[in-house]
Formats: sequence, structure tokens, C-alpha cells
Amino acid sequence: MTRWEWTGAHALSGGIIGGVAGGIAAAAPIGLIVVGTGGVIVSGADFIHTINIMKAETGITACTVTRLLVDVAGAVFGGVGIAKGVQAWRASGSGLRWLSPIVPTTGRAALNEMHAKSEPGSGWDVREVPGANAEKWFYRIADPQSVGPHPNPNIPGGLKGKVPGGGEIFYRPFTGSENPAIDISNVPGYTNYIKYHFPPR
Amino acid sequence: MESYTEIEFRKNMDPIFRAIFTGGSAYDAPFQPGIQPRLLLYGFHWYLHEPWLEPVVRTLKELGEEGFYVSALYRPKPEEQTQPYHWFVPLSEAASYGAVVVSQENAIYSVNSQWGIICSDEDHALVGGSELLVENIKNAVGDLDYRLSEFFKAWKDYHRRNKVDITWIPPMLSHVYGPEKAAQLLRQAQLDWLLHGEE
Repeated sequence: MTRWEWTGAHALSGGIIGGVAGGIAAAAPIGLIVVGTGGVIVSGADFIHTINIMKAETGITACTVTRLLVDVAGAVFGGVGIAKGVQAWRASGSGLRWLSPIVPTTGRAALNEMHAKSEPGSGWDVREVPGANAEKWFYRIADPQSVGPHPNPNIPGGLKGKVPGGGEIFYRPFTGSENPAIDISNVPGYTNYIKYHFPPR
Repeated sequence: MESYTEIEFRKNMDPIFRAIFTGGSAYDAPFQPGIQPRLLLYGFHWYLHEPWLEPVVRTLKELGEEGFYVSALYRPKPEEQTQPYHWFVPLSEAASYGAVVVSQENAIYSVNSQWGIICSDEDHALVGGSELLVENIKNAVGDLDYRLSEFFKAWKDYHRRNKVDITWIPPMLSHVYGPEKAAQLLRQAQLDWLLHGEE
């Protein structure tokens, strides 16, 4: 095998490993944490191995210094990956949701996701999303250009907006039942009106 | 559907509103003394929808009223209003006006000061006035008793889970049904402790 064949083969295998790792990392918070941890361990082990080579054999050379820098970069990116994975896992709202997507949905897809998470609750035809943050859901669902104050001035902090694709959404930080609420109206594919309560879990 | 400014409301609609309502909400005693009989409607979301829509529209036709007024109960100062808060809804649009009041407690009321409906933000409404309207609603909605029991169930649950103050229920019920029937309903719902003030 020539030097160029050897370099090409390693570049190809590195690309495949990187691609697979990226895919795993992008799929879910736990993927990012696993890949990040792997990066830190491999980089750390190679850093120690390179130091040993420098002490016993080569001394400081351009090659070993480059290898050390690559190891440091690998460890840093691995650490960032772990942090991002933990952040994404915490943002998913549950200790059990290690497999929820990292990239949050927005607009109509977010409404569909919130609706799927909701369950029948207290109140006539009211759905509940226990433990979730109503305001965060509102901002994920509403068209950012359309957001304004709630029409009722007695609801400070209340918001209204438009759902991309049709319909309106309202956020009320408090209601008569003490639960924050989201109201949606005239959203295609949904009944004319649905109320979601967000009680504590 | 026609919308009105606050100035137009004060000039033309407010005297009618005040002939029906005391200015309160669905959480207290909103009707003037002469607005009788009364009924609590549960499963009422902001605007006229089934099963309430049909008996209301039918009654208005029988009363010869061509539409009704709708007013949001809580409004910014007139100079700060950026949208309408009062409307006249012709009967032909009774099934489709709802989007303008979603998420806002509001009153639906007779142009002839005969009747009114006031809705809460938690799925109940109170109707008062026009014997014909109340009778038509009773006849059209066969599960009113079940709905009332669900109303109590929901508020007991809110009280248990969120420590919500529900002491407004007895005076509101008394305003709607009279003190005797209100006490009876509270006993049936195992909420008679509200009458004595201690749980």
C-alpha cells in the first residue's frame, strides 16, 4: 500500500465513522451524549499514548504536536457534545425522554406534538399537558411575526398569535382553575376550539 | 356581523347591557333581579356552539329577534383598544362568529333586554331571562343534570389539585337556582362544607 492509498483509506474510514457518529448524535440526546463521551475517551487515551511516544521515541515533532492538538480538539468537542446532549435531555421535560428529538418542532408540527402529548383532563372537553411549560409551547407554535398581547387586559403576560397554516392561539398564564392555558381556535384539522391546561405534574 | 367602538357601545348598547346584567361575571351574581329564570350551562366554550346554539337561535326566531349583541367583559381603555370588543351578530352568523371572542369572557345578550348569557373562562356560562329561552334549552339539552355534576367534579378537582378558592360557588348557585336548590345541589355534590365555610 502506498502512502497515498494509506491516507485515502484512513480518510474514508474516518469519514464513515464521523458520519455514523453524527447520525447517532443527531437522532436523540442520548446519541449526542454517547458520541461525546466516546470522543473524550478516545482523545484522552490518544493524548496519553502520544505523550508516551514523545517521551520514549520521537521527542517533540510537528507530527506529535499536531496529534496532541487534534486530541485536545476531540476532547473539547466531545465535552461540548455531552453538555448539549444533557441540555437537550433536560429540555425534553422528562427523565425518561432520552430518545426525543433534539431539534424542537415549531408551528403546526409543534401544535401536533403538544396535542399528542395532551390527555383528557378536568373540565368539559379540556385537555391537559401536565408538567409542561405553556408559554414555551405558545412560542413554539405561534408565528413569531404575529405574536401580540392577549386581548383581555386583565391577563397580564397573556399572549395571542396566529398558527402557521391557519387558526389562532392564545396563551393565558393563569385561569380560574389556576392552570396556565393555551386556547386554539379555527385551526384546520382540529375542532373549532380546544383548551389545553398545563397543571403541575 | 357588525362591530362597535366603545363609544358606540356606551351610547347604544350599554343601557341594554345594564338592564340585563349587574356588571358581574359568571363567577358571581351577574343578572339584574328581574332577569328570571336562570340556568347554569356547563360545557360552554366562549361562544354559541352545540348543544346551545340550536335552542338559542330557535328561541330568538320565536321572540322575533334578528340577532344578538356580544360584548367582551374585560376591555382595555377606549384609547388603548386596537380591536373591536362589541358586536351585533345576525342570526345567520350565529354559528360562525365565535372566533372573535375565543379566550375572552363575554356576554351574549338580547337586543330587547329580554335575556342574557355570560360565560366564564372555565367552560361554564349562566343564562338568565326569557322563560322561553330557558325552557327551550332545558328541552334541547337532555343531559343538563350530568353537565352540572361534571361542573362540580371539575371544580372539586381544581380545588384538590391547585388549592383553588371555590367559595364563589354557593352565592353563584344561589343567584341562579335560589338558596334552597343551591344548598341541595351542593349537598348532592358533597360540597355542603362550602355552606359552613369549613372543609
